Amino acid sequence: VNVRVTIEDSARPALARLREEMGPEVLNRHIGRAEERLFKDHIGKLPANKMGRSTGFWADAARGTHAESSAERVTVVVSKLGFRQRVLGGTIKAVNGKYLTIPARAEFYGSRARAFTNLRFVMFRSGTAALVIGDGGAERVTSLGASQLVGGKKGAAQTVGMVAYWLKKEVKQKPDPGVIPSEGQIVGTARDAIAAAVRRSDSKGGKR
Amino acid sequence: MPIDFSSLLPFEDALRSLARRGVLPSSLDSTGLRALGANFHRANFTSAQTVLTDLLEGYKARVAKILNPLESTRVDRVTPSNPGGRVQVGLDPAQALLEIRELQRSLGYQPEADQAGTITDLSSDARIKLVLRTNTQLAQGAGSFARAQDPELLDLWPAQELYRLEPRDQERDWAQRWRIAAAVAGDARALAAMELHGQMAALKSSGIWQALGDGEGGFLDTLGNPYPPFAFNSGMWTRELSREEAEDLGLLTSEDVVEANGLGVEGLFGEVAA
Repeated sequence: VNVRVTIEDSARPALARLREEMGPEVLNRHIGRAEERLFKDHIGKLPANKMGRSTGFWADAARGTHAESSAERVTVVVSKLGFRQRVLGGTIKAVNGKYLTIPARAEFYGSRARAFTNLRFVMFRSGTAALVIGDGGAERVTSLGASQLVGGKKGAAQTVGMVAYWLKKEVKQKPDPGVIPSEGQIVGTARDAIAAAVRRSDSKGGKR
Repeated sequence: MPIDFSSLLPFEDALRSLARRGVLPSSLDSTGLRALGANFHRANFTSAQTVLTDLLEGYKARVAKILNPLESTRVDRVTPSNPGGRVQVGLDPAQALLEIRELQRSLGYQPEADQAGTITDLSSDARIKLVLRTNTQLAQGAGSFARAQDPELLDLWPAQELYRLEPRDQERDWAQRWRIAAAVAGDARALAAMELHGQMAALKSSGIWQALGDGEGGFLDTLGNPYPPFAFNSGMWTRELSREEAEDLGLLTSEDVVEANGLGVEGLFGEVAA
């Protein structure tokens, strides 16, 4: 996802002066650095999922965050599959199969259903479909030559009939604009970066 | 100051560092590969005891997809907040793992019975995740490093900080590594910044970054680079520090002129054929 920030208040004397001293493209690169760090820090601190099990999604997103700048604008890019969906929300429909698989337990989070054996399809009377754990417990295929009981030998995830994944033809995800910094933070960061560049220019004797 | 969500831009510096690495099968174990040095690894995409070229090509292609999600449009995804119906398409690590294992199956790979499921089993979860994660992060770290050396911004962004981005069950003692690396690099200011302010911060030009990557002090888990992740599964990353932050930490004074990292971006990564 890209968040594009365009600085419009070019009439401000400080900004005009910096543009002259540094050049608009370099100035925007400087602002981009500040925005990149704001986004990285914000995204990297987002909490793990509802089940409390981190898949490293937010850390991956933070590592994939960078700023692209030109003379006209600063663009912060988050190169992470699924990030846009978190921000904007919307309906996700099954494309590659009949159902989307929604993990019902922490043990199954961060993995495809295909990574497990002994999961059984059931359709409840309510019309809800699920993959449930079959006799003897679910096993995770950990290599081409090995598998492991999910949750260990005494793990609760061996309970026959326990739901491992809910199956849905589509899910609606609410937008969560909180996964990126607020507009106020973004604007404030740009202003702080401009002010810091002015102070640096002054300390180097560039004050006029 | 409007914010809009628009088409994707690739993390080109990261992709470039990945593209530069040619696939090289090798029967060496991790110790043997490590002995070849960081320059070798920055030029070659390898994995311990992996002689299957197709497998390495498969890894490299999937790392590129993880690094660089693309975009398409779908009518069924049009919403008020996404009027263009734009969706990201690409690869997530869980799907990449299954694809790599399927590739291994098609290549006829089968682990030794006594190694199945261990890190030496090329098809184990632990091994596949390690290769995908390490190479993805190496490309991102290299990309960030290259960008951080921008000579026109070094004066305003002269330093960086090592910090924990991801928790680990058993976190390695990076403060100890920092002290050793600072001593090896002769960077008394970086050492003082940690002792006085509790931050592992140093100028970008400091030798401390290479010393960390070299595992100075006898650490054998490092990757040889002056950029994160520094070591396998470290969970550590770097953030840039502004001039004022660096001055507050005592890393330099307002009169100091900042120099580029002596390693040089070109020296580290060279030219990449288009």
